[in-house]
Amino acid sequence: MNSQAVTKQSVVSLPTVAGWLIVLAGLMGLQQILPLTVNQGQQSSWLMVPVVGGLAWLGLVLSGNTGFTPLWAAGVSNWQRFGRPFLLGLSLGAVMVLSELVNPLGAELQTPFPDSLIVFGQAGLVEEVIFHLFLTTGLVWLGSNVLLKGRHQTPVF
Amino acid sequence: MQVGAVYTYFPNKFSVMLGGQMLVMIGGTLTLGAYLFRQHGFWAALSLRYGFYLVWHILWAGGIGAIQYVLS
Repeated sequence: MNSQAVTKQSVVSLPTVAGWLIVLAGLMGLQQILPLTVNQGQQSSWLMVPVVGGLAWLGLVLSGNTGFTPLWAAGVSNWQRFGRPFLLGLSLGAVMVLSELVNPLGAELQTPFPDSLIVFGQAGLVEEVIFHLFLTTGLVWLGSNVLLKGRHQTPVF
Repeated sequence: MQVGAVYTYFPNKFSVMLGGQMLVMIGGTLTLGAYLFRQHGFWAALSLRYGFYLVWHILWAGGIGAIQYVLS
């Protein structure tokens, strides 16, 4: 994607990032006011909102420079964007449930319902922004665009 | 990182089987999520994550909690 297209794509994605931050802030607000049972490591700080916003924005810019499909790419159907991945996620979850029947992990590894709705509503967005949107694109950009200076950029898949 | 966190928080529960489960869970969501991100954009990776969390962390954990409540 050329730099003009990357900039346009980043601007188009801004309302989406703003929406994510509003959802994240809302869930964090609920976590602050409701007496939730959370495991260690699941406490969250308000600092997370601007950090996630910054990383998401940076990741979206980097993803345009590294060949990842843009957030609202015209050629991607909603089934490909939401439906099929969600079904794959349900399947992975079912695999984990089956594995627990063989080797029970115990309830203490889990956050009780309905607190889990708030905790994992936040965690899903935060983890995806950090691991995929920022780290994956950042590492690809660092390796491909900086270290290899744009050489060997033939797509593998 | 997350396997390390499980080991830190639940040292008495850690086992090779648990490590394998964590690797399947974390590796599966990360690898498949990266592929979907590359092919269909970030929404696809996010949808995968939420589908996984819905079954594993919300419905299943809620079920465990409900069973414990009934048994107690």
